[in-house]
Amino acid sequence: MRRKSRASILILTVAFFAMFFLCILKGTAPIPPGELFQPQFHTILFLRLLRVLMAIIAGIGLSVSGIVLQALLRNPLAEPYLLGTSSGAGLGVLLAILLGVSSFLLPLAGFLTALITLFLVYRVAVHNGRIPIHTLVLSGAILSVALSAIIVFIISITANETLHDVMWWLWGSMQVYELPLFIIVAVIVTGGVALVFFFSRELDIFCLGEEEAVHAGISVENVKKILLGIVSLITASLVSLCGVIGFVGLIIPHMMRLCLGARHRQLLIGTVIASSVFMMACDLIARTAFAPVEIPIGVITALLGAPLFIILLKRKQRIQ
Amino acid sequence: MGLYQVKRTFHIIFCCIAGISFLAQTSHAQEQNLRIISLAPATTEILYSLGLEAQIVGVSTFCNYPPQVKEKAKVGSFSQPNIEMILYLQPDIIFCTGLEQARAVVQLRHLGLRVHVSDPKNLQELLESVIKIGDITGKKPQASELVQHMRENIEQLNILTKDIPVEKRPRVFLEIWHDPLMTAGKGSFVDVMITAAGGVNIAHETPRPYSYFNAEEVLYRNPQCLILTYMSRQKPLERMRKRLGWNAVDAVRDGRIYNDIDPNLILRAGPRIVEGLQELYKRFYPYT
Repeated sequence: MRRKSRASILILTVAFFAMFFLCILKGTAPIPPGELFQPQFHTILFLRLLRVLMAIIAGIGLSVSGIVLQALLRNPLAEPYLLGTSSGAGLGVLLAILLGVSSFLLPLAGFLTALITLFLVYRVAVHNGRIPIHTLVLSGAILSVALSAIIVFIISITANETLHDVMWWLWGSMQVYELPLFIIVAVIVTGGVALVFFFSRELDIFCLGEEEAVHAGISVENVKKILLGIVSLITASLVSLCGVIGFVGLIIPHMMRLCLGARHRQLLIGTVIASSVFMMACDLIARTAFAPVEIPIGVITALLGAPLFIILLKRKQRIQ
Repeated sequence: MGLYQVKRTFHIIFCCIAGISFLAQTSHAQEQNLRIISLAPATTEILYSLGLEAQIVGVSTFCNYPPQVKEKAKVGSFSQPNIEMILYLQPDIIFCTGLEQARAVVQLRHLGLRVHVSDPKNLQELLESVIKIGDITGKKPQASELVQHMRENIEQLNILTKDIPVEKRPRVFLEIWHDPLMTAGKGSFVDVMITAAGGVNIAHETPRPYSYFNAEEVLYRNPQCLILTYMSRQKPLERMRKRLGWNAVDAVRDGRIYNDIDPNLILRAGPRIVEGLQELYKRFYPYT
């Protein structure tokens, strides 16, 4: 089993590098690979590189958040936006546009409101200093429905046509223009993911149940708070920079569970690599399939992810 | 020593003058040979009218007139231009419009590209924007000629309609889409068009340029003329009669429902609006 999972990780690593170079070389502009590194194309090369790195960071952040939430909540349907980050950030961006905030600061506004939303979700759920998981899921769902309603309400009563921006923004895109923003998000995501690695044993035990975790000597509430905090920071920063990208946080963790088993150490390593490859591939399709028109990346992640997952599931069932 | 300094100053001044004159020359040469990208269908039409076909290197997928625009490279959709493709074409100037392109404009400027935004809200602003585009592209005479032609047409129509009292003007409902029912109000270019062609837009006081409209309001305001800006397989009159209560609307009763005007003639703030105005006038006053 160990050897098999090591082989899978090796294959994934090879796929990672192949996909990385393919994504850099292939784009909308028909530039031959040999000429791409000439000075007149430096801006294009830079944008492509930034975009590929963004896809990697987004994939890693979303899928690792998915793993953590699925383990903590013991709910296979848990995904990064479950706790209301997407509608929270959406409302923030909307208000910022209405107040005339410059577009560079829009992600910041989204980030702040996403964090406020998460804080509210925890406040609603918390009881006697503990966070009961079922209440947390419910309060997340209720707050995101309420905030989405506010978003639609504001859009329908205001005359401001630039609010269409919010729609585009919510659909998600990997194109980033501001290097500083990207670096901030990349640091938050990689830092957060690295921290999650330290908790891989705790995550294993959490999957058995909270009571079992207490018996195993884990201070359950503290670990839960730290992990939820990390996941919140990761999703809030990602949603504010590249919008809502569904399915990645759900499908890659489950696919990797099928390939590598449920132990979080291996699962996390495999997921980090697999989600990068998957997101790079999805973004490549999103920007080149119908070039010059771009398809929202969320569409591709769902269209590509669902069949991939079904194939893996069926193969697993046959083996068993 | 003194002589050396004088000499050096002289040299510097000479170099500066040479440099400036060289720059001036190249910038002048550039004006003649601008590489243009247009992301707005209306501006594309203006650029073609000014004879800039050869200099246009890219257009949006929504630009469809004149027909030869098909041969131009496409650089993405209206509200989501493809930045990589735009950079690849190395434009000197990019023409955009307002509203939904605000975000794209900021991004393009962020990359150091020159962007001109023209978003005329009425006929006067449209004429001014044509002049402005002519200035930028070095086509001043052609631009003033085009503006002259457009102004004459608008003026002729104005003479025909200016003395018609408001109560004699037809109440018009512009149906942009049927489900949900959408129309254009104050702040939209087509609202200006309806007024200029001698009609009264029943949705004139809606606060948004384009918005949903309540069918009840249509019945209440009882338009005498319906203009549809979309194609449908069903005949428009049959379609309207099937709507509950719409038989009581003057326009439906009199069969004054028109979907035969090319929507781009009235919705697009370009050179062809003079044709659009004529078409609207013919529908509003069929007996004159």
